Amino acid sequence: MTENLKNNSNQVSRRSLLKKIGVLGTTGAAAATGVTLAAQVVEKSGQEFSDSLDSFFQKHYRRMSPEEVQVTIARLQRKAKRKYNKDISIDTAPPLPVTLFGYALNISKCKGYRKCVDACVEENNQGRDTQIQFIRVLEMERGSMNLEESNHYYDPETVPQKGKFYLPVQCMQCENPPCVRACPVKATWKEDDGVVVIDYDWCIGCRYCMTACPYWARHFNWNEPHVPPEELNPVTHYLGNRPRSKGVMEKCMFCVQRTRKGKQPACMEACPTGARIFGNLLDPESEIRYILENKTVFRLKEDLGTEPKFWYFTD
Amino acid sequence: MFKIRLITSSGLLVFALILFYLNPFFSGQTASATKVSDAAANTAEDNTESADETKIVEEETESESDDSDEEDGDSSDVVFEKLLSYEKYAPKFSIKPRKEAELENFPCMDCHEDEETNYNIRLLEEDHEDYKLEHGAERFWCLTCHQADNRDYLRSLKNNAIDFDQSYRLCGQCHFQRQKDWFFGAHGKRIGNWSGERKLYLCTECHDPHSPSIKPLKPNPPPKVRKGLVFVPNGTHIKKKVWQKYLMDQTGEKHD
Repeated sequence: MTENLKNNSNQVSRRSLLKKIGVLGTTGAAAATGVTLAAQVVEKSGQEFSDSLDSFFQKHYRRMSPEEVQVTIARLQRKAKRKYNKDISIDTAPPLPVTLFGYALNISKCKGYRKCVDACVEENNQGRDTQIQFIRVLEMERGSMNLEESNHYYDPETVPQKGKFYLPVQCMQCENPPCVRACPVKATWKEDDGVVVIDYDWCIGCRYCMTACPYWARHFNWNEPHVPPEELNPVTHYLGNRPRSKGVMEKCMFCVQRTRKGKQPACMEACPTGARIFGNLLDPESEIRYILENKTVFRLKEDLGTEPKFWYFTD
Repeated sequence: MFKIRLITSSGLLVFALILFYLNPFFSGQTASATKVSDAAANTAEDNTESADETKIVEEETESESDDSDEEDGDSSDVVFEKLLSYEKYAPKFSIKPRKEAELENFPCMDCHEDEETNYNIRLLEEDHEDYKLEHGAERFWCLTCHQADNRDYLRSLKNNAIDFDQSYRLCGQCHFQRQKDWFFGAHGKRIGNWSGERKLYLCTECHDPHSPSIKPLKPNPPPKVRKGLVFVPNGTHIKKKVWQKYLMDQTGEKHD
C-alpha cells in the first residue's frame, strides 16, 4: 500500500517536472532565463568544488607565503559565509614584540560563579552541542589539593559553599609543552609570545596531544560544532577562534584575537571578582610581575617539568 | 722576605680599604639620626596646631604633591601624603568616575545644605533608611567617613576632605595592604585592556561601602556530562572500605 503511494507521488512529481520543462521549451524567453539560472548554479558549485580541492591541498600555516595566507583566508571566509551566512574577519596578527604572556589567578577571590566559562564559549565560537569548555572550575575541599576528589559538576543554590574553594583549570600555556612534542604532524606549536596554538586545518585528529596533556586542556570535536549564526563571533584569528570543523582538536589560546591587540582575554574581562590577571611577563612594570614577586604563588603539577605560565596565588 | 713584605703591604691595603668604606656608613648614620629628630618635631607641631583643621584636597597631580613635601608647609598634609606613598610608586592609573554617574543622591548638599547636622548616633528612619551599616561591626557611624560640614566630600580619620572619586584613599587608611595590592594590580579590576592606559574600578564599584563583603550568587549552569558517560558523584565509589563492600555483599546491596 505504502509503496503504491510512493510510486504515485513519484509519478506526480515526475509528471509536473516534465510539464515545467515543456513550458520552458515552448517559450523562448523562459528558456533563456533557465539557461542563465543553470549557469549560475554551475558557477557556484564550481567555486565550492575548487574551494574544497584547494582546502585539500592547503599547506601548513607556517609554511605558507603571505600571498598564500591571503588566498586561504578568503577561501575560509567564503566557507564560513556558506555555513553561517555571515561575513567574518580572520586575523593573522603575529606575536607582539618582546611579549611573553602569563596568567595569574587569585584562588582566594574566585567564588566559582563560572562567568569565565560562558564568556569563553561565547567569545571563542565553541560548538554549543559539542560540550567543549576550555575552562573547568573545580570545587575543592578546603585544605586539600587532591584534584581527583574535586568536583566540576557542582550546582548549589549559591556559591561559594562553606568549606570549599574553587580552582579554575584551563590551558597552562606551558613553556615545555608535552602536547607539542606528542603531535605527529606538527599541527600545534608554541608561538613567540608563549601561546600554544593549533592549525585546525593541519590537525589530523589523532588525539595524541589530548592524552599527553596533564591538565585536561585539549578538547576534541567529536561531532560537527554548531553555533547559531546570530551567536557567532565574527572577529576571529586564524590561530584563535575561527570556526572549526568536526574531528579536530581545540584549546584555550589566551584569546589571541583579543590579546594581540592589547585587550584582555574574555575570561578576565568577564570575571566579576577580579581574580584573573593577565599580562606580559617581560614587562617589569606589569601587574603579573608584581604578583609573582610579592605573592605566594604556585603552579599545578610543577613536578612534571612542563613549566606552565599560569600561576595561582592567594591574598 | 719578599713574600712577607707582600703580605704585610696587602694587609695594610685591605685595612685602608675597610676604613674607607666604613667612613661614609658612619656619617650616613648620623645624618639619618638628625632626620628622625626633625620628623619628631614635625609630628609634635602637627598635634598642637592643626588637629581640627579641615582642608579640601582636590585632585592632585604627582608634581604638586612633591612640592608640598619640599615646602614643609602644612604638617598635617605631610602626614596625609605618607598615607599615599604607594600611590606614587605604583604604575600610572586613572579610575572610572562614579560620583556624577552612579551615585543617585549626589550632590548631597542639595538636601543637606538646609538641614542641621545631627551628631547623635541613631537609626535612620526618614532618609537613607535602606542603607544597612554592616561595615566595621557597629564601630562606625555616618560621620566616621562622611564630612559633617560638606557632605559632598568624604572624610579621612585626620579630618581631611576626600573626594568621592578618590574613595580608595579613605578605604586604604585601614585596608592598607589591599590598597597596596590595588595600586599595583593584584587586587581590584582593570577595565578592558592588559596594556596601554590603565583604568581601574574604584573600591565601591564592587564593594558596597556600607556592607562591603561580596554576597553569594547563583553559579552559571554546570558542564554537561559527556554523551555516553554517567555522572558518578565523588566519594561514592572510591571511599568504600573493603569490609563495607563485604557487608554489602552479605545484604545483597550493589556496589561498584
